[in-house]
Amino acid sequence: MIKNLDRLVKEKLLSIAKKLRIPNASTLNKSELISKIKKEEVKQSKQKSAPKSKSKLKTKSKSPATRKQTSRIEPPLAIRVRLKTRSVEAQQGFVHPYSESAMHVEGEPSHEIRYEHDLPSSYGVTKIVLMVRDPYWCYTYWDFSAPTRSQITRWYRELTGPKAVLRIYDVTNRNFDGTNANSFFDLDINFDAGNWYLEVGKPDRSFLVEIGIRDQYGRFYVIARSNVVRTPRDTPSDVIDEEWMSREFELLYAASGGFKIGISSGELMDRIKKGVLFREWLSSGAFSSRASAK
Amino acid sequence: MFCSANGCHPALFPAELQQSEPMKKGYLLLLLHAHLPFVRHPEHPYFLEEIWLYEAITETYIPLVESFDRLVDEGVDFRVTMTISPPLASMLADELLQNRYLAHLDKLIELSGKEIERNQNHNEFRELSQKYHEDFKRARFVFENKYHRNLVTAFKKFQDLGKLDIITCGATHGFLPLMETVPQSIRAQIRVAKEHYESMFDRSPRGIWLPECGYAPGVDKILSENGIQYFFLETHGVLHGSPRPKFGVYAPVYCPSGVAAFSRDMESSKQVWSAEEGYPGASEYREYYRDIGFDCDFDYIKPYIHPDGIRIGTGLKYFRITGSTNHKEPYHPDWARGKAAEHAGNFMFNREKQIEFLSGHMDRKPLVVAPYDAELFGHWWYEGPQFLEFLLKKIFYDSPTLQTMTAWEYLKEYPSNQVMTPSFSSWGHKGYSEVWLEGSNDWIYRHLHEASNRMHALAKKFHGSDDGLVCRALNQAARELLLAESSDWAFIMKTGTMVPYAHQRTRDHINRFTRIYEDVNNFRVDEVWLRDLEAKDNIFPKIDFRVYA
Repeated sequence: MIKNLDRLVKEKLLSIAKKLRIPNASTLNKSELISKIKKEEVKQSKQKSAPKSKSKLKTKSKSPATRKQTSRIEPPLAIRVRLKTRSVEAQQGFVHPYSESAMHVEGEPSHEIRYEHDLPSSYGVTKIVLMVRDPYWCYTYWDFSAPTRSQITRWYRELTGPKAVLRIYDVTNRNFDGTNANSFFDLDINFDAGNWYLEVGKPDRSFLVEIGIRDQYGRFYVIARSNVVRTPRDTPSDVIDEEWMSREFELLYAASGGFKIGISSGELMDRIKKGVLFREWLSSGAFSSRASAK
Repeated sequence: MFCSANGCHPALFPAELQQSEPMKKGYLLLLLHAHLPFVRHPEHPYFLEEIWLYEAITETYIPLVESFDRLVDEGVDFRVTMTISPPLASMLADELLQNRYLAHLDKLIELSGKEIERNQNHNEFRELSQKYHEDFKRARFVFENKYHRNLVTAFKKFQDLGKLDIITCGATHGFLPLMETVPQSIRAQIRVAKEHYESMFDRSPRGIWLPECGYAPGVDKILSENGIQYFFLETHGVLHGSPRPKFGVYAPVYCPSGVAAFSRDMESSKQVWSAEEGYPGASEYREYYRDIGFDCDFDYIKPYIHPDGIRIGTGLKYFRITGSTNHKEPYHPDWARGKAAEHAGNFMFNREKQIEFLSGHMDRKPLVVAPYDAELFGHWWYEGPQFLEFLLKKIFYDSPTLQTMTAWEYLKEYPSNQVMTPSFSSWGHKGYSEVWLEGSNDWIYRHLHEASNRMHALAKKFHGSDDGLVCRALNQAARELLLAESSDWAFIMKTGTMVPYAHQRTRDHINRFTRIYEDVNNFRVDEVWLRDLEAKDNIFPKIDFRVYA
């Protein structure tokens, strides 16, 4: 049983409701939702189908960016209206694939778009865009045209075991043709989230992402492919410019804040005199990273 | 480099032995980044967020101008690099805001006059009231009589005197690394800023402060296309650059495009910035959060706060930081002034030590780059402008080692520098994009990018158009897009204060843009509506939408 339901944002509640298969959840207000969820949980636990959903709902956010979300207030009216339109779509057969693992794989959904009020929820163009956040994380958002949406609906009807997937390709030093990536991995998502944070985990590499549907046999139906991005380096470059190389490099690099960021030149001089600094360099080797910790 | 060649310890050879030149041993580049988002609401007689500008004028820009004037009058030679962002310059030169500022200042003069009376039995506070009264009256003189309401001309004067190097910024302070997929937006941010600078300062900008210090490889190429010769980079931008930097952050590098990048020195930044160890936390300094706008009797203060009765800061503050508890002692300006002088001395001493150390290990004079938000000085750190004035004076009169410098002059002295591609970086928390791309603000990018792509398409489609109304509408569309791209809105959403305003602005500009996009494509531009919008969002009067083509 989930505690403190009333402290969750409505989007979270909605996603819980969907997992519990509560009909027309998006037309309910927050308190109605909470009571429905509580009832449904009791019902399902009696049917012994609850353990699965319990484990799903441990929504410990890995992304620091999304951690604060639980304190959010309810979305304003316009958002509720928008969610209603979505549920109409659902009734027409647009099934939202909520993957069991979606909430605790590498990425996290950026919580639903909020505060948009009268901004359009879709521009009616099928596309997916990839952006870099830091050496380890990217962000992607997508949009579907009406024909794409119908195609997706058809796929959902026709394919066996369809899942909504983001496929992230490492295309470093490749002119990607769909087959020649260095590696790739899939993230199960829900299309409705509209955007997702991706932990690519590798600085100084190139990535692109495809959004699509993967069936039970592993066949991947691509809906859209993104631009290529490069994550920034998180360590000194391996490339050394002979013309500009000198033994002073490490010293000036350290004084600049490399190796140990924030050390003052006074401290630095002290340590050099004591012979400490060079030992530290030799032993640690690692650059103190400014990127968000993994 | 004999010591290295012998394998000796570099520090065993004092810097003096290696420096035969009797000249200064190194340089300090002080950079003040002055920027505020474009906030101007002629449709309302009073608008709360406009006060950001008024406070910054009274507490930061006028005190800086006064300091620079005193230094020039005394014959102190100094160099300061300063961004005046295009939105800030536009607001400073805007007649409506100038008039509103004067009205605002007059109320402060009136209030401080009343304060002298109210505090007549309290010596310490009465003296402070008198000081504020004099300060505000002097501010009025500087603003109205000396610089004829336009502070851009004040800063321009110091640039023309060779003391100030005014650099430009993104047209509306858009965070460039998050525009990677819409390069037309990066080009427009730079191009419009450059043209605006030319209209304000009668010459082309040589340098730029990239908004939020946000650099991504390739941005330099667009700078180069616009004749911009240098920009500033966060520390790890150069440290993680490739190939490795020979001189760390203490000498500029050239990007492959030929534009020079100067990198921030963390040590000097930390001394001023750091919340714990930084100078602004000293107990003698003025306490920012105790203001008569919050402390005074409501009926008394009502005419000087928000018309709806919301209490806001007035700028009249009577207490010093004192300590970490809520107990605050009265503020003593002379004690604070003494502390500012002491801190300036300490800052100079530390830079001298740093320069002496570095100069022993470089074949050129080291350059320490210390950039700060201008509004830190005066607005947040009330004594900041005094600190700067003391520092510039001390360096000029007392320092055998150190000299203040601009990027331009340094490049003239050392035209040959290492070539490298810096790494993507920003000066935001954690050093990359996370401040402007996280749960509270990530929703804006799909709209900003779509608007940018639409603007690009419009600019291509109507490139040859000579329909006056259509061109006006498209120019306004460009203004709306630029205003929506201001990184300030994402930043406000992230920090959590005044959030509804940031949402409103993002939404308004995107919606206005979208309406023009649809109207132009359907040949039905509403001239009356457009005229109203042109009067409201009147930034960049000379913009040409073809910049997006």
